[in-house]
Amino acid sequence: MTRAILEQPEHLPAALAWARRLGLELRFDEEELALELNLTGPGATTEAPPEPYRISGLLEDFDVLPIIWRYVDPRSGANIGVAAYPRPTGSSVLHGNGLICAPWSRLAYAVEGGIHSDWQDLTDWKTPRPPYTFAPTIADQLDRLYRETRASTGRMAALPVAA
Amino acid sequence: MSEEHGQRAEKQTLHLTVYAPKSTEPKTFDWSKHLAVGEAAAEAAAAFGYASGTPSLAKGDEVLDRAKQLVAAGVRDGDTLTLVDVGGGV
Repeated sequence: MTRAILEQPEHLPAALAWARRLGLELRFDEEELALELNLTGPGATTEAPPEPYRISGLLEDFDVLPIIWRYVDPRSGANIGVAAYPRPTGSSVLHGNGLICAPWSRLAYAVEGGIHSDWQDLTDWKTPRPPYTFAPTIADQLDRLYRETRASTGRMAALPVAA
Repeated sequence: MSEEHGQRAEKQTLHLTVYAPKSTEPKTFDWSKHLAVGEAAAEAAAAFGYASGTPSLAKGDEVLDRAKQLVAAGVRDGDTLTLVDVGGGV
């Protein structure tokens, strides 16, 4: 079911085309139903070097359920919490707890450990919830994360020392 | 209408290419340079089949102010823009 949905023009083909337009390499693991995208954001100061980021998306049960999006360790892909996340500017989906907080992010829902107990039904994620972000396709969601990363001001916490 | 007048009238219109993340192909629009970014974005969103949201337009990395006229937001004839949603999170 998920694979059939992904093959629809507005999902994986559009996401891959979106990445190509921006010169990005979006990787899709068909067996694991997973996406990965490396991004670069500004450093914390104008003198600081750019910060590397990696976004991971787990597509199991998409699009009945929203994608499990995370920023992960850009070196290893490991879950490292807030250190993986860019520090946002303005109205943002990037929560200070190290969470992508949007109706299209499965981990934002309280039933999945997120902070939104007011969002009850995971299957209702495509219903617009003004004034929240509306991003019904993979590429819309990636575009939002891309733009927030590019507008960020360094990462939320320093990367841990690599093992 | 004289040729000179015709040219002046043409300059009031911007011929723009807009990409939407959900579509592999862009669409083109001819908009008055005085149209608000938000209104233009709403028209583009409808054309691409977005049912709702808070659409705006981005020129490169810069997301344009929905309240500004296209010309005031720095949009120029022939530009390529991206449709984005600026709804909030958290």
